Amino acid sequence: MTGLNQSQTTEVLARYEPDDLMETVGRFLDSPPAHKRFTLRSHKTTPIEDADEIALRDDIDEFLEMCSTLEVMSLATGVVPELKFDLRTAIVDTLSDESVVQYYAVNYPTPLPTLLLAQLTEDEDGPAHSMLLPIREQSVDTTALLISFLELDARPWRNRDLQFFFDILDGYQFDGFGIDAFLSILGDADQLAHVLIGKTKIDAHELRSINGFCQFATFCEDFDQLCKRAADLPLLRSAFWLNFSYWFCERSHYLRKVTREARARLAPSGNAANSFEDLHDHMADFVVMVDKLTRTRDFALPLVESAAPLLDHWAEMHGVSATRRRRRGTRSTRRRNRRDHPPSRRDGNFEEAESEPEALPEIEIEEGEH
Amino acid sequence: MLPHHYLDAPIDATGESISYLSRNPDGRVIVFVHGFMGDKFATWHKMHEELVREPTAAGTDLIFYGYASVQPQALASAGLLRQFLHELVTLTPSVKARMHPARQSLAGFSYSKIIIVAHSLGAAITRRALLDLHKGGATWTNYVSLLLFAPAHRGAQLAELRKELVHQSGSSIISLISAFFSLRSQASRDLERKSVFIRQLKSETAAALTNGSATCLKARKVIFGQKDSVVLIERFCDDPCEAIWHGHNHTSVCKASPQFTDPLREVLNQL
Repeated sequence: MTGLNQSQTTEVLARYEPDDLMETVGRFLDSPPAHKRFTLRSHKTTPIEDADEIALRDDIDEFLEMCSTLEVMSLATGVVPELKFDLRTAIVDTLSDESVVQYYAVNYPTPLPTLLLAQLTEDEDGPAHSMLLPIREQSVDTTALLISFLELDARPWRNRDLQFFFDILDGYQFDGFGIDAFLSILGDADQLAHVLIGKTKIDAHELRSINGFCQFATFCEDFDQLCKRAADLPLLRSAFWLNFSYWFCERSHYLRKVTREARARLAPSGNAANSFEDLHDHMADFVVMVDKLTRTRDFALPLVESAAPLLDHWAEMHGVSATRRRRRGTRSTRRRNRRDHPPSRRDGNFEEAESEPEALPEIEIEEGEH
Repeated sequence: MLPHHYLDAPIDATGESISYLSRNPDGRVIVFVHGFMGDKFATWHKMHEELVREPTAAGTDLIFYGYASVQPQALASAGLLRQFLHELVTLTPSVKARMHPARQSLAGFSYSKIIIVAHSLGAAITRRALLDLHKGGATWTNYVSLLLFAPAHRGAQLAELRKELVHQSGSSIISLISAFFSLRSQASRDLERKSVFIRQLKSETAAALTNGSATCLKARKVIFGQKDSVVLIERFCDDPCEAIWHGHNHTSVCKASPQFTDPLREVLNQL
C-alpha cells in the first residue's frame, strides 16, 4: 500500500471534522500561556469542572486522536500522509505548544502525536523518518487492516450502548447508575433475566449497560483479532495498540479489575440459569484476553525501540524501557475530561484502583527489565 | 484510501448501520441484515473487507444494517427495517445528509437494484418488511433481490443456536450472557415454528404471491449449512430449491473470508 495522498488523507480525517477542530484549537493557542497551562492542567492538581473547560479539553483530545490516527496511517504505509498546508501547520503548531506538550506527553501521556510531530518537523534522516523506511520497503498491503482499525476506532462514537459502558467504566454516573449498579445486575440472576428478555425500557440504564458490556466484549475481541492479524507487522500492531492505550494501558488495572469482578458476579447468575459451565469458561477466556491486551510491554516495545529516543520518556513512565519505574496512574484521550466531571461521584462498594493497581503478578515487570 | 468506496460511515440515525458508499455508484446497493444475537459485521466475518476490494462491486453501495435483535419483538424489528429500507432506497433527506458530500450532490441518482442478503432471523424480518412495503405500494420493491443464508422464515430452535454459539470459536464471548437468557425473549418466541409471526409471514406471503407481482417476496437463492440444527430447513412459498453447503453449520455458512469465499461469490452473483 502506498502513502495516502492529500485527498485520501482528507477523507480519513473527515470524521474528526478537522476544520472545526483547527478553529477551536487555534483560538486556544492564541490565548495567554498561563491560561493555556491552567486549562490543560492535570485533574489531580485542580478538578476539571467548568463546562466550557471540559468542552475545550474534549476538542484538544479529539485533535490529538486525529493526530494519532495520522500516525497509524504513517506506520501502515511507511509514508507520512499528505496534509493540506493549513492542517499541517495547525498540527505542528499545536503539538509544539508548551502547554499542549505538557498535556499529551506528561499529564496524560499518549505517544503517537510525539511521533507525528517528529515526522512533520525533523530531517528525512531523523529517527522518526528512519523508522518508516523498512515499512516502505516491505510494501505490504495493509488496506484490510486499516479498514478494521478505522471501524474499530470509530465504534465508541457510533454505538451509544458501547459509549455508555465506556462512560460508566470511566467512573461516570447517570442518575446514580454507574459501574456498581451494572455489576449488581450481573450478580442478580432475576434482574439480569428481567433486563435481557426485554422487560425494561429500551433506554433504561440497566439494559444499556448490559448491551454495552456485550459490545465492549466484542470490541475487545475484535481488537484482539486486529492485533493478531498485524502480528507480522509489529510497528503497526504497536500503533494500533497505542491508539487505544487509554483503556489498555493507562486504565489497564482497573479494566482487569472490572472484568474479573464481572466474571465473579456472573457466577451465581449463571448457576441460576442452569447453564453456566460453558459461560463460565468463556468468561474466563475473556478475562485472559483482557489480561493479554493490557500487557503494555508486549504491545508497545517494538515501536518504542524503533522510534528511540523519541518515546523514551513515555516508555520510562510505563515500564517498557531499561530505566523502568513503576507505572503511574496517568490517563489520556477525550474520556479524561468526562470522568473528571461526573454528574455524581460513585458511592458504591466497587472502588477503583486509581493510582496503585492491585497485585497482578503475571504482568508485573521487574525493575530494569527491558 | 479504498479504491472504489468511501470509508465507513453511519447511514442511520442510531449509527448502528454502517455504509461503504461507492465513489462511482451504478444504482446497485447490497444491504446485509444479520440474525438473532448477530452483529452487522461479525455475522459476515470479513465480507466488508473483501467486498470493498472487489472490482465487480465497485459501483455498488454496501450497507451493513445493525439492530437490536434479542430484546425487541420480531415484528418491531421488521418495522424498523422496513422504515430503514424505505428511507434508504427513496433517499430521504435524512439519509442523504449522512452520505459523503460528493454523493449528496450527485444529481439524478436513484437505486435500480436492491440486493438484500439476510441471515437467520434477519431473513424473517426482511421478508416481513418487504411484504409490508409491497402491500403499502412501494414500487421499488420490484427491484429487490433476496439472498438468504440459513433463513429462519419457517421457524427456529434457538436452544440449538445457544449451543452452537457456545461451541463456536470466535463468537462474542459475553454475548453468550444474552444467549443464556434470551431463550425467553419475545424475539425467540416469535421464531418458534407455530408462532403467530411465522404463521402469518407464510400465509400472507403466499397470498401476495398468488395475487401477482410480488417478485420481491421470492428469494433468488436460499442457502443452508448441512449441519444447521438451528433453523428448520423447509421451503418457503415459491422459493427455489435450497442449496446445502457441506460441512457448514448455522453460523459458519455466511462467514466470508479469504479462505472461504463461497458467501462472497454468492453475493457477487446477485449483482
